[in-house]
Amino acid sequence: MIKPLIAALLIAIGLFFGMRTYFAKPEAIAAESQRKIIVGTESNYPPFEFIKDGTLSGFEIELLETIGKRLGLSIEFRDMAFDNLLFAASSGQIQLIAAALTPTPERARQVLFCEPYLQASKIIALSSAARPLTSLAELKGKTLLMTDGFTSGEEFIKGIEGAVVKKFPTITDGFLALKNGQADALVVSSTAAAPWLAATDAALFYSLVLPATEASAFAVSKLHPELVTIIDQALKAMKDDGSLVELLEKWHITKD
Amino acid sequence: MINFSLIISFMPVLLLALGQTLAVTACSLVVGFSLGTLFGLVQARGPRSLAFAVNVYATLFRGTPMLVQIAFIFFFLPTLGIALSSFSAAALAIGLNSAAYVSQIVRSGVNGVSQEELDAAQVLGFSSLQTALFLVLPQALRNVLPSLTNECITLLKDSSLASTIGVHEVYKESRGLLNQSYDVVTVFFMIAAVYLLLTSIIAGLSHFLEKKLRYQ
Repeated sequence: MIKPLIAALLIAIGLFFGMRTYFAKPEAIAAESQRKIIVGTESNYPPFEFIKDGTLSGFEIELLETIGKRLGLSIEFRDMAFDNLLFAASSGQIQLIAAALTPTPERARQVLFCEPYLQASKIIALSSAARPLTSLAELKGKTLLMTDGFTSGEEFIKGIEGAVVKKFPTITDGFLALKNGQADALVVSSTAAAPWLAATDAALFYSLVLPATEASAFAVSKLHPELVTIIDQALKAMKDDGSLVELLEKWHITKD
Repeated sequence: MINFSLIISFMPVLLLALGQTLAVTACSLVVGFSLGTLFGLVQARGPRSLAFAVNVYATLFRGTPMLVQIAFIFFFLPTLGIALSSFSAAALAIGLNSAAYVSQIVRSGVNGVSQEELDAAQVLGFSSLQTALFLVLPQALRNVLPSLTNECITLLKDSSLASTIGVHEVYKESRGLLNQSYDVVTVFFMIAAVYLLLTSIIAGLSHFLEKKLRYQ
């Protein structure tokens, strides 16, 4: 019983060190064809990326397809769990992450961030209209829902005394948990809340604007640093000719 | 309560997703059952060093969560220069995991064949290959058929884990429908019904096989 366990452990340790030495020299990966960008995304975040009638759509999807068309690059999307995205980028499975990521110092250790396409999106606390949370002081000691990886929300909640955080993998799970009364409020960016509020009776909910905002940007694998400038230049061109604002408006993403 | 028109409008997508679920299951079934049978035979009858290697394999793959194995194969193998698509990574991971369980099922089946019968085979001049093919395996497979059915059903349900690396199978596509409709009851009823239907078919097939293989 002990012997196979020891052997299994040795193999696991061997793999671990094999992986470490690999990650120490990124050039080991064969250079992908220069004409294609492989993009990782998580399709549970409308209006940024979601599956509609079996196909991937959303603001970031259309934005990248537009950039691809302008630069003559083909864009290939890989849809996976949010938790796997950063790892997929550092292991080279994907070259770019499109998941409305907020740049943070921790994430910047693993990936490179492009210029945010959205600087300051409002963050709100959505509560049921029957038991509304109408001021910041009322959040104290309450149970608050959030999605995994919502760093701006986490940062904000840290400052609230006694708040209990419950996390869900997708935003839809968060809304449904709020609707079922599993918590007092859902902390969410106003952009991500919009599709839900449009789909249900908005009068059932009370939305409190919090003194916090969120930026969103594309992230690039450290194995493909040249993509940062390529994407930044394309974004700047779209900002200058107004097509970025047009696209944001098309998906009902407001700047404030 | 259950919105059937939503399910009907989702049918075209659901059928495609069903194809993916069945394809992942079938591929991992082939990997798992062929490797597992081989490993089981080796562990029961093979040389000690190989039996030990199978034991290590089973320890590794039974002792770690399948979710971890799928992510590991999908993200680690490319670093060794083997780039697998989401589909093949999922089928391989689920198959390798299943092989560990199947090997133990087959091992117990092989050990269940009595020593007297093996002695008789030797007396009759059967080669070891003939003994394995005509004596051991037919008896062993009949004895372990219920356990293999269990494994098959588990495999089908585990294929939903492929959604985490982007295989558009039933669970993944249904989550997409949830994000559009926010109708939890309908969507999860639909997912449960699809899996229940598929596993019932497997159980039915296995029941039929058991009858066929019974002693006359």
